[in-house]
Amino acid sequence: MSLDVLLKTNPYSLKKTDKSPILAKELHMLTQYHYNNCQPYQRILKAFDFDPFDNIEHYEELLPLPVRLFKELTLKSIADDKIVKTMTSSGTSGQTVSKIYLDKYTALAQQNVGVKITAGFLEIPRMPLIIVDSPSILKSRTSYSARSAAVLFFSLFGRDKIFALDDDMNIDLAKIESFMNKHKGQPILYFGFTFIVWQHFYKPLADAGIKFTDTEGILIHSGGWKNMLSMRVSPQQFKYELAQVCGITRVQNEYGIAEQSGTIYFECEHDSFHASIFSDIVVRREKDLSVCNFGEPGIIELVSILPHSYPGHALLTEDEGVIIGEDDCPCGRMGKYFRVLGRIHNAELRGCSDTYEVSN
Amino acid sequence: MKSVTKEIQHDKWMDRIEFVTGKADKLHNLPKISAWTSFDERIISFLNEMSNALIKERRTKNHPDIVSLAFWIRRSNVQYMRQNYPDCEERLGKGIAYHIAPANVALSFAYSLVVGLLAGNINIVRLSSRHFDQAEIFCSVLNSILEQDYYKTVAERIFLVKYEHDKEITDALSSICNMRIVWGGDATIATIRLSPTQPRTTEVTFANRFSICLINADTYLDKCNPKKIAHNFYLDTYLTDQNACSSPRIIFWFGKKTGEAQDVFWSALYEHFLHDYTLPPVITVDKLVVACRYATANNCRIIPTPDYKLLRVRPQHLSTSILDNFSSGGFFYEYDITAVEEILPVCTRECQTLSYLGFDKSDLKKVVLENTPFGIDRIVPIGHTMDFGMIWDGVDLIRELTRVVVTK
Repeated sequence: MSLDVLLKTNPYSLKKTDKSPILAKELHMLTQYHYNNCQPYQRILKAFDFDPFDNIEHYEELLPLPVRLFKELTLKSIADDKIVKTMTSSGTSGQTVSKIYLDKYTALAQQNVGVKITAGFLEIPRMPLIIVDSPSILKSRTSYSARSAAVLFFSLFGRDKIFALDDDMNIDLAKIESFMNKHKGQPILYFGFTFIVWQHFYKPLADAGIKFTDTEGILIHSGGWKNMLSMRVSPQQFKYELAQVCGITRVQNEYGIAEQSGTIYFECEHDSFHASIFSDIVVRREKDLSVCNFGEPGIIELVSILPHSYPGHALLTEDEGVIIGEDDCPCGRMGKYFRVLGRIHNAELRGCSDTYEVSN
Repeated sequence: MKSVTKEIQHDKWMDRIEFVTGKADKLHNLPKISAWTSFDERIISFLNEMSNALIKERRTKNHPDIVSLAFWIRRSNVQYMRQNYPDCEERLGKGIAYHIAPANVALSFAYSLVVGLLAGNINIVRLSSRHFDQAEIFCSVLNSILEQDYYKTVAERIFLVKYEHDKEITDALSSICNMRIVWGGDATIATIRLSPTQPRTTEVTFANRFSICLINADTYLDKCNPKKIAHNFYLDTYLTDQNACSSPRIIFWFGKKTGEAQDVFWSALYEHFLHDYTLPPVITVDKLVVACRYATANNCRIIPTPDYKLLRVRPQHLSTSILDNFSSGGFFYEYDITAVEEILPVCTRECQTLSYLGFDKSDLKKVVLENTPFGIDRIVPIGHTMDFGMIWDGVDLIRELTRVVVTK
């Protein structure tokens, strides 16, 4: 089934019996394609004695590449002159970042699919948008990071937009209030990274005793809960406080990895992330990489039919998660639904080094 | 000339130190304590008592490395080692030895301490913050023996401490020591070197290293008991999660029946000794990442057991890119050779130990001394890579940690 047809389908309308064969076929073809066009990828498959031309029953049989490889190596299946965009994942300081090479097809496919998925979660296609971040992240067009990509992507859903923070990450209250007045009576869309929303938007407002009570807002946030946990803020508290102080009545958590843009995962009304028809999740036991049962936590592997220009169609992430179920979420959406539990631990175990070498 | 015996003033940094053995208030006096001659009888007697106590200790049964250490420090072995130092009574400790122990091998700190004591020094040993049962057992036995009045003067020469990465503490202890011993890794050494020492203070460092193994396949099949060899290999590798500098990372197979020998060797290891081995959680993913990374640039076969406890990489060609792609917890490169000299390209400065099976050690020594690779400091049989010796990483520790008084 071609991407065009899938784009016309409701992203959560396919049951396992329908979705599985479609994905298996696409992913199998992608494995063969990348095998033929990406030398390093071919070497890996050959080393593991994995013949991509053998039949597979399920995409769980595919060898997932650990995302870390994209930080260390150039992995692409296109000639240099076909690259239209190079995306880097946002790394914290000192870490190397992943480099993802996009050709025209992949870049467009990722955008179209991302839009299709997001539109399903927003009743109103384009709203006044407040980006809870600083304009400086978009300033450098040469280093195009996952953070700036996310901002640019969600900007598509804004028919008028501002940045809530200044270049120093301080809240620009005057600008926000004037924007809200301009769009009085309309719901506002917010997008930001979870920790930034809490620390640089909610907190200054709460500390100053300011409340946006006569506006209604929807927040799309992403970026993981690790920092929030260390501040002892639960998801319930997060939602409650944002409602109380910022007038945000709907909070929409979003999950995705830079190495598979476009196939993003939104949290439903029942607090589970949903896999769309364009991608899927497999959870593997950390100790031997075997597939977990539903309800059993493990490392998240994500498969996506979008990566054509780089062998990113089956990736082992650095996140821990658990699949709750498939096709039977109370929200009514088909497909696997899951929770993300955090990053997998990253102990420095090799060599003689003691705490002097532990990285954060 | 002014006396340069520095005093240690009590300072806040002392409060950040946890004293496993020794007390904070004794630190300030250290620079005034005299060194002893090497192999002093009081130390030998103390170590012998430690040896007996460790053997008797109930918890030692689960730890072959404690047993090895106990045997190493018993009187007869220490007297034996003493014979290598006929001038030992003219050798004095340098003074205060400041040791930074590694995080990968539980009892390295203990060996370092023993060598420091036998050399006649006063010893401040920073233990790794990583918990090891063996370290706990050793320290509790040590502390109970030191409670005896008889060992009061020995107790004055032993400080086992723990503290977080702390430049102020490192600066302070470095400034008073006469000898600094850093047990790696490379980054730790670089960090410690930022703390200055006195002009005559010398330093011994043990940087990141790896080791290799050479097996004669035909001898293995004809003459060896696979289970016994597997046990020896296990001691060299899985016992320290393959994290020690002496842990073999590359296994070379020599002979006609290499394929058959490999099948027998790895099955014996897996079936008899890996059943109860648990991989530290993040290691499986690391093995996968490193194997993939290596494979992207080198034609090879990757053979993991389904549970990933043992992963073999068989390169088509041997190149030094292997050295940038090591993992641990059971990750081995494997290569068939027809001449011993074929191991030489990977014997870089980082290559510490060559363990062997089915070869004459003098033949191997000849190959090394004739070809003079930058690496290989010791050649030992399989099962003995963890045996500690006074000469470590090519350094004679007693000679390094002492000064000789010469008379004419």
